[in-house]
Amino acid sequence: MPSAGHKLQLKRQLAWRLVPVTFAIGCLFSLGIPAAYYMLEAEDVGILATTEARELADRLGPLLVDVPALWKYQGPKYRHLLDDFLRHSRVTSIQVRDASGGVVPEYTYRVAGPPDRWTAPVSFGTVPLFVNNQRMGSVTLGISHAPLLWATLRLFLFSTAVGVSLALVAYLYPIKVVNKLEAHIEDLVAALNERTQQLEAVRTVAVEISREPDLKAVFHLISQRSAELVGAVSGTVWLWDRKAQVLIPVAWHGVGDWMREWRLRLGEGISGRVAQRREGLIINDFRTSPYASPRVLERTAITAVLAEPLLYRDRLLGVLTVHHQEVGRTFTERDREILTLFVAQAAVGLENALSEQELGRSVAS
Amino acid sequence: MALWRVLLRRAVLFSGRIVAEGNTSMIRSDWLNARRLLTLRIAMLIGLAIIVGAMPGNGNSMAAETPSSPLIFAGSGSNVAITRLLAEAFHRVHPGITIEIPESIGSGGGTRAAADGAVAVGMISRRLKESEQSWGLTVLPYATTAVIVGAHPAVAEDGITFDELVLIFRGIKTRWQDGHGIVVLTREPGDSSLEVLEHKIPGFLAASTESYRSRRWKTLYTDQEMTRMLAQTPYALGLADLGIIMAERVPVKALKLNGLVPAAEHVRSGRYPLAKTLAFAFRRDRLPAGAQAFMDFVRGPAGAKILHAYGYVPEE
Repeated sequence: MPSAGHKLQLKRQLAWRLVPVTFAIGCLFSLGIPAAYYMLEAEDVGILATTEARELADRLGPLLVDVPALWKYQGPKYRHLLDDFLRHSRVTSIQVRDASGGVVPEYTYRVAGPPDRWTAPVSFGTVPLFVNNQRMGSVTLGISHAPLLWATLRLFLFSTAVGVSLALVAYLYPIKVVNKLEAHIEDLVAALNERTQQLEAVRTVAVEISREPDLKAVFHLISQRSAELVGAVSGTVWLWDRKAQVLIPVAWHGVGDWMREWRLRLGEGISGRVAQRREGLIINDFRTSPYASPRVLERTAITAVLAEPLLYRDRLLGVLTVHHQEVGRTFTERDREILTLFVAQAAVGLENALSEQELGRSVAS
Repeated sequence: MALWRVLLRRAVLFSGRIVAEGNTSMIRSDWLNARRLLTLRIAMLIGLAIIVGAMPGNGNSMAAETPSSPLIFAGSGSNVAITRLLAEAFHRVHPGITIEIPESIGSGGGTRAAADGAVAVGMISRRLKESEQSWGLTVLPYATTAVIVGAHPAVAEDGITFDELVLIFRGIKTRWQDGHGIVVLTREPGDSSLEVLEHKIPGFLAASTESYRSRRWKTLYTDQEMTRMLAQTPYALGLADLGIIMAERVPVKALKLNGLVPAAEHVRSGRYPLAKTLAFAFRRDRLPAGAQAFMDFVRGPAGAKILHAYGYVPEE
């Protein structure tokens, strides 16, 4: 089991494993989506080029005469047709060939641009050119990918932003969860260690008490060790006087000797109430509690009280109380569980000591 | 020129007779005699061909008169239909000369092709432009025809005015009187019919230019396409030639213009204001004899008769 100070380093281990995964997510989004978009759209541009070429060929066919040598003299009409055709078109180049494959220069069209400008890829579509129902050449039409490249660039920027965000989330969220988990595990380990230490302390104290022949020393041991177990600064051991039906303080520390003459009946104060109910009690707001005795409030700085009955086979032997005297410090259910364990052991030791004392008296008499 | 034509014809006829004789000889004589005779005849034919080919003269004109090299007349769509009819009639009289008339390449294309020598004769339906006048072309008018405002036969109205026409092209008048929408079909700028209207009808040039710039109407690029679309498109309106409609027998309604029927007599009298002249344009120095013969035919009585029959006013 790791010690309380030992770090599990889950975060570090996870971080190393997450780096390639998140990198892959980032790349997939920022590069994969634009690439897929470009490929699909480029195919569409190719189809569009063929469709546009077909439309131009359909419009050009009825205009042209079936003597290719005369096509160049139809240039002015073709230019009007082209003006009309190009109005809603993204066409960047057109080439008309006759049946022999020769280019008709008068029908060649190319979008003008600076000669040193970078040219984007172009998709071409070629369809046959029919004049008077005879195949007399072909029309090749090109559509530039420049608008598509701009759109892809915009998509790239957007998908990069999304990809990086997703990668960050995919990296940071598990780290955050593991962080919390690690803290929780560390808390659990710490609590377990503390509990183990307390149990060990309970066992040690029980052994110590059982070995102590002096009853007074037993009382003091119970008072001291119980306070140490739960981190309290003071404590009191009350013994139940069956004849007088009162609780008598037999050992205390940190509260002053004024307690010596103090007696509590059942139901009186916190210890009397615990004795009456035979059930432990935590009072963390002692200074304002209705159970608090004015005498205690006057003479001590107690702020919180944890009290447990000392029972041996359901018979009340006394009450053990431990106190905090610092504002803000409180007892927890865990403190109470520890103290319950302790008082069970202490009650056995106390009963044994009391029995031995009784036996000694009987022998002496 | 005529001498070479006669010589060529003789040569062709002579060779035909020899071949005919040879065939009978093959039946009557033995194989050796037949072979000798055939060799002699082939030698004579080759000799004749060499003599004829070596004679100085215009190669084009020679080729022009052989049936295997037709003379190409190309140009405006307004001329195509009627000139084809004239060419058919001419071919019947002169079977040795074939005139071939492809579809429209426009008046501009016709003049340029004639100037370049790509065609024997160019056909135009407008005057030569300033830029074309320096190309050394001779223009020979042969007919005048009415430019009509044509409509689909379904159109109930039978007349239109200049003002209405301008309003239609401006996109203000959009419906016929019976409520049906007017489908305007127009031609590309520079078309000869359009130019006639632009010159004759006040305000039409601006309306036409603006409508073309805004692509308000469907633009067609040949006269043939225009007449076909007018016949096929219900409630359509467009510009056409009276001659084309009659020559091609297209069911297009010729609307009265300002109450005047577009007819040849009104064109001749000048009462009908929209008319255009069809003409041949050619380089006189390259003109093939066959082409000259054809033009003579067109401008002669036989040509005038045909032109009359199809609503044209022959050039006197």
